[in-house]
Amino acid sequence: MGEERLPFEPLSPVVRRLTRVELLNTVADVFDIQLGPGDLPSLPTERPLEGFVNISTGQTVLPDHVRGFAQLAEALATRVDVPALRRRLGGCDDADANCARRFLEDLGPLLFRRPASALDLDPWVELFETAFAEGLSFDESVPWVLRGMVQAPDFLYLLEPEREGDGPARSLDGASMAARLSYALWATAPDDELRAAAADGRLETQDGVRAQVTRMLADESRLLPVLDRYVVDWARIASIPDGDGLQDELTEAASLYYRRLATEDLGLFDLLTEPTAVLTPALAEGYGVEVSGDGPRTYQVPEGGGLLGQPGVLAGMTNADGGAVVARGLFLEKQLFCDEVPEPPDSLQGLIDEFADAQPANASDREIAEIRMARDECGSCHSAFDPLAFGFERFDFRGRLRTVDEHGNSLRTDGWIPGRFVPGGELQPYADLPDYLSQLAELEQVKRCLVQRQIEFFTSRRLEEAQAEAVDRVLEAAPEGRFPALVAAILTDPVFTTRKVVE
Amino acid sequence: MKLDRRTLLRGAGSVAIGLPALEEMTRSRPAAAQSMGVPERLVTVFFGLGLDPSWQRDFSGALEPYAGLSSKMSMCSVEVGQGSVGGAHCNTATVVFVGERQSSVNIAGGPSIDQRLRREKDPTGATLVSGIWWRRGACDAQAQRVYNPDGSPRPPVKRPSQVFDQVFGQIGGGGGSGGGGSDPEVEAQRRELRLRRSVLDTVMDQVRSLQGGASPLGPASKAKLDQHLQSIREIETQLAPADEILDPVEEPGDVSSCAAQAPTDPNVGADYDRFTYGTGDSAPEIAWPDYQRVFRLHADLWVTALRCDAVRFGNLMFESAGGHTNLRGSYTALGRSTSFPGSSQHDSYFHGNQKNEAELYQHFAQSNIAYFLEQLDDANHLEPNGKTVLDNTTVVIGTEYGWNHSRSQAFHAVAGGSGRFRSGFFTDRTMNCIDFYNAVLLGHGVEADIGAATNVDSEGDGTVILA
Repeated sequence: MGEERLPFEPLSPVVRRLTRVELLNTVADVFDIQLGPGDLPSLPTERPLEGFVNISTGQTVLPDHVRGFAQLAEALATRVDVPALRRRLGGCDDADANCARRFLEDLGPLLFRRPASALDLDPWVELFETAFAEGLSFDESVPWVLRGMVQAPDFLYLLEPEREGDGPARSLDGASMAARLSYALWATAPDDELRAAAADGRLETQDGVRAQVTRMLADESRLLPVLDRYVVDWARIASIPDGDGLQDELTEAASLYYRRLATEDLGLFDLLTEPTAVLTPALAEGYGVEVSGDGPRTYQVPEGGGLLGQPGVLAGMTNADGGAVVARGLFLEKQLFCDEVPEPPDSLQGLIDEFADAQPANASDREIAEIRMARDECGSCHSAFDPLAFGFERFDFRGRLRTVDEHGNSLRTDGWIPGRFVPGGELQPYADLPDYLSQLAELEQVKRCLVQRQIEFFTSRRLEEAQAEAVDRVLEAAPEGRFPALVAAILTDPVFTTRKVVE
Repeated sequence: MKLDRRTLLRGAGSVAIGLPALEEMTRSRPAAAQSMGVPERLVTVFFGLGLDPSWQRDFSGALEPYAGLSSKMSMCSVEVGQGSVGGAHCNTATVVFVGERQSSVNIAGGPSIDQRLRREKDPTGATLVSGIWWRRGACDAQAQRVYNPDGSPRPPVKRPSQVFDQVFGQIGGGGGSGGGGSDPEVEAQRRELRLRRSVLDTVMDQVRSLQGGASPLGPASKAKLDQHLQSIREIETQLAPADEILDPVEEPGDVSSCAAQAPTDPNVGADYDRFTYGTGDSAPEIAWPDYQRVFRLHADLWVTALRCDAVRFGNLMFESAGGHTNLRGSYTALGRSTSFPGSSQHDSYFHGNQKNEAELYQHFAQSNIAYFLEQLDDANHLEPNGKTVLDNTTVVIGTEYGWNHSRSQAFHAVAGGSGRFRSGFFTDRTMNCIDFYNAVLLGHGVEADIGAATNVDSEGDGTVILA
């Protein structure tokens, strides 16, 4: 891949499974059949155990997954238009059994994302012949082969063969790069152009990859749903409760807001401070702004806004144990600073319970947090993250704005960024939420963390300390975090274009 | 007798649950109970929050529902090692039935004991994970009790009807469905079954080929595909039933006894979903008899699955770690009454330090778990060795804490177990949960080394529970 940039620590190549959306998109693109989630009802709900649902180490394979794959195979086999497919692939007009291999030589690369020459098609030809020998016609035999192919690991997983070479890292071959790019930006199989670029070596060069990235970013119909998945996982929106029936609106509005990263001239870091929110009428009412029409719209919200101020994101960051301050503080520490404090030791559990019981009945969340931070045993950790939540005090757990809490306490938005996150180590006060967001957007650690999460999303891998230099390189190439530059920097970086050698 | 023996279980209400071709799954076993004696089984049962140590010493308090089962139970208190990540109820819950510390929220440090044993005793058998709960917060592990060898979770099945589908159902309308019909129809069905088998064999060959010595994949990837292959094996007979099932041999007592045992209640509609399964700060209130009805249906399904030898390993859950269901209604036991407060047991009792009320709540929990054991112990359903299903099944009961978030003295018990375990109270012993879990596995002849992977120290001798 152009100039050798080692030393760096390549990511381990753990196979990852296609997500539900990726499976459905792939079937739609290869067969022109639009299946929906109802066609694979057994497939379990995906949960972002490692940050995003596409991250391999957090993916499980349970019997229900296998059931779901079998249901997908069944739905495909019963709906596929075999004569049309036969005419498109292999040129098998006469439906002669001798044509089966030619047919599979055309189909295999589409389903398994690898040229026919690199695939062993014998098992699938044999499966065809088994069906044919049972007295089925060509067109009746093909669905049985399809059933098998879409349940095969070559289809369900992104398999990336290791190339010959020296050293601990190997660049990906063209077909693997095409698949990585396609699933990263479009959540589907490579199209003709990507496969052609893989075949003629264009994906071996940074310029070639960059050209494909530019082309793919222009297709918003494929790109934007991928961005939706990012923000839903990042802000853990999928699991927010729906007691008030607003879950869909919270999700849609947050997604529409985040899409602006790709559709407008905004940088990733600008998203923290940009004083607007996408709100439906119900959400606008909660936000205290005058409703100006149906459906989700962009509103100016001087008191909040920005990525962290979207109601769906506020609901997501509050969606955890421990009360709003602790839940939000820990979320912000993790998603803005890529930092996590250790769990409280066993010996403190009794103290934590006593503490919770001993608080004045009408104390505000902030007063309780301040008492907590003043105690040595608690404050040594809570001081590191509780203050990160203070700026959001006026928003409740559904992202509704209020000025007093349920006890009548006035709510404030001043606070400070703990010294551990500030160069020099001195805590950094903020006057209100807009001031806080502006300061966050300037912090190097915040920028690095936001970029790290983007890299993790696009590579489908968790980054370790060893890959810190990848964040440096991406930030250097896209210092403002503008989406096209950011994506191009990640997708041309060795962290994306190489894999670690299997030991 | 041809295939169409779909049994519809119809309750007093309007909900019907399909129980298709039950005999297929009984026949899918290698004639287990009939020719090989009784299979080894291990079911874990979890309940949330925990018991005060003073209630764990006899049957006079929260454990009173087990009094009639005392000769078949071994009671212990264990130290549940602290997990390394996740908040309270999250980090400890991931250690229960596992023993190893986890390294990531929601992913355990190793397999749960039921899966460890399943790999040894029944690697191609099914696993059932089911129950009832409301959990708060973003930690999935609070409602996860079963883990694969790599620590990835097997989330619980929520609705009783889903349990039916999983344990007894088939996918895709394929082999086995349909009625008698003429010979050409039967022949077509046979052909379809043969082709399903060919598809599945080809797929399994593909997975295996990526696991062998020539595989280009690394150990972590191979482990993923191993998990995939195991999952296929678990439901292999549902994906591609053997075509002999088209000519089933009548085995009197087999099908009929299984069908007769299946639960016939219930109003198990979606209505209960919003009360009994979910996440969020505040669960809707549910009257305790309703909660009990849903749990007992889960228990009945488990009993049916065990009696029919459809499942040998897994977990039944009575409330997640953290216990946030909002029960209401007046409950009387132990000569006193309380009114469940309609706010989570966790907040009102545990954080509120209301021991009297908490004991009655836990009495309610234990009475339902005891119900499960009693159904397994039904002398009307003896197994080929003349023992009850409970006698022949190891049921490990466990919870997350002692009193109020204390990780020491978390109640654990073993019931049944084919004479492998002693009965009585051993709650005065100090032992780490790893000692207890290792002892349970040792009872099954498996010398496990739980704790080794994450260097958890042994703190006592769990073998005290062994016969």
